[in-house]
This record gives sequence, C-alpha cells and structure tokens, in this order.
Amino acid sequence: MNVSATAAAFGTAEERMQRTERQLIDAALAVNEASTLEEALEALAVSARQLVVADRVSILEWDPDFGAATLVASAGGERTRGVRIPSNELNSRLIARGESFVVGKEHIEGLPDDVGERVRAMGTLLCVPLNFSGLPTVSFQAIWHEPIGAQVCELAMSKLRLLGRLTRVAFRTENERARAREDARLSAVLEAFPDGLVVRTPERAIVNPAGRELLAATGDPPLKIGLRELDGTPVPEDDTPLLRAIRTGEPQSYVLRVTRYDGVERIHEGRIAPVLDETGSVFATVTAFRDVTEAQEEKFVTEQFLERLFEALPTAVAVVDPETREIKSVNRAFLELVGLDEEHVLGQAPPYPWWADPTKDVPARTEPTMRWEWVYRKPDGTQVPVELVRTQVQGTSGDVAAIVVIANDLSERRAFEQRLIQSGKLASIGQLAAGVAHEINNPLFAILGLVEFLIIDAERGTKAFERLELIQSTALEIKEIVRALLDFAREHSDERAVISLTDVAAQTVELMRRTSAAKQIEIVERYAEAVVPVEASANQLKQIFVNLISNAKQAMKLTGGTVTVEVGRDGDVAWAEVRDTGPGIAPEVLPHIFEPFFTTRRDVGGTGLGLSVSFGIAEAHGGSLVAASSVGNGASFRLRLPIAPEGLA
Amino acid sequence: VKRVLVIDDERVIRDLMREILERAGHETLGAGTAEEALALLEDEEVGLVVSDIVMPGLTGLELLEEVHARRPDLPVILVTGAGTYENLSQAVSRGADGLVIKPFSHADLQSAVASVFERARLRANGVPLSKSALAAELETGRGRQWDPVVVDAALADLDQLIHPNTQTQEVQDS
Repeated sequence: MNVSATAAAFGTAEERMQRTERQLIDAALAVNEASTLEEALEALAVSARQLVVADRVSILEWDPDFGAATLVASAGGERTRGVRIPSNELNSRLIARGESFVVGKEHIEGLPDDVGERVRAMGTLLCVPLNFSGLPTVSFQAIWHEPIGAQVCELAMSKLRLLGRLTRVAFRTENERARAREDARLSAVLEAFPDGLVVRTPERAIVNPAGRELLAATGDPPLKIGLRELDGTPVPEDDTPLLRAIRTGEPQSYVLRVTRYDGVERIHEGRIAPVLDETGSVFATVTAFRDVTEAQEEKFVTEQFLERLFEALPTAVAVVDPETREIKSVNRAFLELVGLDEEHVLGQAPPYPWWADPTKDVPARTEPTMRWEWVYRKPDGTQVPVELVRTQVQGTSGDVAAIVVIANDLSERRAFEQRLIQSGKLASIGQLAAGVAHEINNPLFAILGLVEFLIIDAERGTKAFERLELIQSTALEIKEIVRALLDFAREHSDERAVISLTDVAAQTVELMRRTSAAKQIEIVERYAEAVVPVEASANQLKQIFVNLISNAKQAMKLTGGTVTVEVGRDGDVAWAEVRDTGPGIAPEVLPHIFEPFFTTRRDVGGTGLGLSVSFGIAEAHGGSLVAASSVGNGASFRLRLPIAPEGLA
Repeated sequence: VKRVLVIDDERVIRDLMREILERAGHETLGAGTAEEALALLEDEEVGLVVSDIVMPGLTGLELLEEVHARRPDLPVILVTGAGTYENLSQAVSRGADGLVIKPFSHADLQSAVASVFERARLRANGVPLSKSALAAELETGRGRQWDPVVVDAALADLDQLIHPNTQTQEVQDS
C-alpha cells in the first residue's frame, strides 16, 4: 500500500485532518457517554481501530509490576477479555515510561514460543501506553495483518496517543459513573416531582427545579436558609426540623417562614424523611416542601386577629368546658369585670368565686343560646349586676365543643337608664308645665281672690275663719308648685356665654341675702379664684345656686347654721360647692333627691322640682351635680362644669 | 276718681278683679275682649287699663299697643297667668306700666294700681322719674316673692332698653 494510494483512498490532507478531528471527538464522546467502565473501554477500542484503520485494536491493562497484561477490551478480533498476555522486561519498562513502540523481535525475547510465533505472524503490531491518573496503566495494542510503512506507523501512534489524551479528560471512575447513574435516575424523579424536593447527603444537596423555584435559587444552593416560626421567632440553628430528623431518625413535618435566596420570606410546609443505612444511622434526607404562604398568611392573620380581638373586646368573654364547666379561657375584660388574676380564674368550676350567691347555680341549660341576669361580686365586695349570654360552640363532629359566656356589666347601663328616665321625666314635665300653668293659675286666682273676700268678711277666731285660712294656704301651695313648674319650663336664657362661675355664685349669694334674710343663718363665701371661666347660661347657673342655697337654708330653718358657698377650679373642671351644717340627708332619701317631685318638705311648701331642675341644667351644660351627705353632718352639693376652652371673652 | 277698665275673657276673674279694685275705692268698667275694650275707650272716660294677656282675639299685649297708639298717656297694667320671662320681657319692651302675676292677693293688685296712679300724678306735676315704671314694679315684685332670676333677667332687659351701653350688674346693684 503506497502513500499515493492511501492518499487517494483517504482524500486530501485537509479532509483527512478534519475527519481525524471528528473521529477523535466522537471517540471521546462515546467514551464519556458509556455508563460503565467496561463499555467505555470497548468504545475506546472501537474508536481507536476506526481512527488508525487497524485490523484489530485491543486495550491491555498492565499488572502493577508490569510483568504481564490483561486484555480488557478489543475491537476487530475474536480475542476475549480477561486473556492474560505475558510480557518481557523491555516492554514493561517502555510502557511504564509511557513510550510507544512497534513490536520487533527484541520485544518477544524471553516470551513463550507460541506467543513469539503469533507475534511473528502479524504484519505490524503497535503498542501505545495510556496513563490515566487514578486508573491502572493501560495500553493500546493495534495490529495490522500486513506490514505497514514506517510513516503510517508513526501517524497511527500519534493518533492513538492523541486519543489517549483526549479520552483521559472524558474518562471517569467507575464510582463516578455509578453516582452519575444514580443522579440521573434521581434527577428524573426530582424533575418530575411537582413539589420542591431536596436530597441531602453529608457531602451535598440536590434540589429539583420546583424546589429551586420555591427557594428562588439558581443551581444547587448551599441550603443554609433563615427559618422562623409563623409568629416570627427565629428557629434555633441547632434545632431545625432537618437536624431533628437526622437526630431522631424520624420524619419531621414543619410549617415555617423561610427566607428565600432572593431575600423574600415565604411560608413553606414540608416533611423531611431521613434515609437510614443498614446500621440504622441516617446517611441522607429527603425533604418535600411547598409554598403555603397565601393560605397560611390568611389563616395566621385570621387566628392572630381573632386572638387579639378576643383579648381587646371591651365585653367580658369566658370560654367554658361544656362537661366540667371549667373556665378554659377568658379575656382581659372578663378579668377586669371579676377583679381577679388569670390564675384565679382559669380552671375554676362552679360555684365560681365571682358569683355573689354561690348557692345559686345558673339556670339549667335548655337552649343553644341563653340570656339571663346575674350578680357578680368582686373581691372587694362590690356587687356587679351582669347580663349573661351563653352560647354553645359546635365542634367539627357536631357535638358541643365549648360554651362561650359573654358577661355584660349592667352597672353603667342601669345608671344610664336611670338618667334617661330622669331626663325623660324632666323633658315631659317641662312640656307639660308651660301649658298647664296658665290653666291652673286662672281658677287658682279665682279661689284665692274669693277666699280673700270671705276671710275679710269672716269673724276672726271662728271655725269658719280657720277653714278659710286653710283653703287659702292650701291654694297658695298649689301656686308654689305651679311656679316651680314654670321655673322648670322656662324658655328663656339658654343663651350661653363665657362667664365666671365665681361671679355667678357671688351675685346669687348677694341676691339671696337681699331677698330673704334669715337671722340665724350665715352665708360664707370662699372663692379660690376670681375667674373660673365656664361657657354657660348665667341665669340657669344662678338658678342652681338659688335652689341649692334655698335648700340649705330650709334645712337649717329650725337649727340655724352656716351655708358655705365655694368655687374653685380643678384642672379643666370648674366646680362649685354649696354645703350646710344642717341635719343632713338620710341614706334612703339620698338616691332620690334628684327625682322630679321628690320632696321631704311637702308640708312646708317644697315642690320637689328645684333639685331636678338644677340637675337638668348641670347636665345640659355637660357637667354634673352630685350630692353627698351623712346624717348629722350636713349636706353638700357639688356642681362640676367643664372649663371654657378659650377663657373669658 | 278715674275709672279702671278691667279686661279678662273669664267673667269670674273679671268680676273678682273689679270687686277688689272697687273695695279699694276705684270705679271700674269691665270688658270680655280687647276689641270690646277698645270700643269702650271710644265712649267712656278711663284712667287706667288692667288687662289679661292671654285672651281670644287680640291679646293683652296687642291691646297695649293699640291703647298706646290711641292714647299714649293712658297707663296699662298687664295681668299674666304665668310669670315667665317671655311675659315680663314682652311687657317691658311694649311699655307696660305694671305687671301683676296670677294668682295675686288683693293687696298686690291694689298696690300695683295705686302706684301707677301715683306715678301718673307725679308725672302730671312735673316730677322726673329716674326709673321706668316697670322697673319699680319689678322691684316690688321681688318683694312679693317673684322668681328672683326672672326679675333679674327682666331688669337687665329693661336696663338695656333704657341705657343700651351699660352693664347688667349696675342695675342689679342700684
């Protein structure tokens, strides 16, 4: 076979070079793609034979002492793997040094005769060592049945060396191949899995695409991520679900806030399964997880919101066990209502310590929702009227899971109702009074006027005279009542201005001194400040003072004494106090003194309207009028009004 | 002797007032309505009008204005069923010479009438009056247990009418 013929057969030099390159790359790819070392070597042998156009190419694996080699792969021949090929010292030395050689007679010296015979029968035999790090030394053995030229021989050796170098890069250990196969299988599973999956071994972690997306990670991340509980508390680094799974060997479920690689926090729900080896120790873990942020946030927010709502409700709420009736949970309002700490409330069973009457139990349960009125008692003895509403809460299985009791403090409502009744009474009386006064005064005047004629004509000292006087005094009583009603209904002087409460008090006292001087009664004035500005109707306030001072004088009519009128200011509250040194107000009378027509002085001309009128005026000015008294210590009335915001005009 | 014309729609009251005044030595005439009274004034010699305020037809206040329009010198005393601020202030602003609040004693009415005649006499003799007739009347009313708050308020109003630029308090203290 001459060169020109070879050239004709293999095309131009450039074409040959391109073909060689392609063959080399194909060979390297074939080796790399082989899934076992065996296959890789076979692929390498086939590639090598094509590359050098040899009749046969074998790959030999040399013994560590290079005394012999074993055939590990072969292309183009019947020689089978595992065949032992003896060698001599020269060959071994050359292979160990990485030198290629053409087998001549010196290379078969000392070898068994049959081996020498076979070698001599071959046309050309080349040996090209391949040194793959981490692998035993292997070599190509290329055989041509016919002898080939020295040039072609050199070219073939170069090609094989080049192939060796190329495949060395692509070559992988059997271990690596096995792992790649595992990885490939795992990858397929991981790829196909819709949720996030992380497979961890001590060396590394594999995350599937879904998981990478959930973690906003590119590639396999270092997997050290911030974890927090749903309420925001960080999960200790030494107590993550992963570490628990590894420690215990038990699967762990979790719902946690996870800080993704892009810094965004999401809520992940997951389960970590430990993978145990034959000794029972964990060598890997598999985590499956998904993003439940939307659902969880909603749930979490709802739960947290409900909890806060429960706590912040101004209404007292208690949750009671339906069987034992033990208190399971209460809110702050409830604790305030019963005046106890949580520890003295939770776990309590009837009779509860806050029941005013422990011998009385609640009405027997008849309906899902019940309402009744009850009395609680605080530890300080204060009785609190409450309205209780009891509702059954259904569990998921339809049974009664809990009883919720809502306790409404009725004290304020009662007081409010009382005031409402008071106001209502006052208003209706006011309307009535104006209309009625005229109607009464005409006939009353007729009675009084005519009686006066009769009295003038009657003989003093007679029974008739006494009776006429009685008629007159009785009719005059009616006159007083009507006059008081008219005071009440007075349409005038609701015009308010900024005035000084001190001035009003001083003017009224002056007026009272002028109009009815009772000798044994002294009026003492104490004004802390000359100007106590209030926005009010001066006339209406005067009326309060007139009423209070009149009452005080009346109370001391028999005994004499001192009326003290005091005015002061307490922050943004203006106050005035009128007190006497009279006999005081009996405790059973005190709650009623502001009620219209309530009087203890009917016999001496009291109408029972003065204090209700005063009360009404105080309220209409956004203030209050409060009475205090104890028998024997006189009575005091304190008027409170808001200080006028802009001071005196 | 000047005659007093007494107007009240209720006969019992009217007769009662007339008898009270007659007992004090006054001559009286009676009328059941303001219209009737105005007709009487055309023909009869009358020195003083005493009229109820609340009546069907013209009220006492309207009658007061009618009388003043015809005879500015003829004094008018108003009688009211209720000593409300509104009545007092209306009487003040329309220039009543006196005010009596039902139910009143014989003496109340008699002294009111007497003081009006007395002021009329003083005026006729050229004696200047420092206070309005009503102010004096209100002060006497205070003595008769009129509601002091109402009286003060009415006096203040009166003072504003007489001295528009002065303070309320000066009247109370004067």
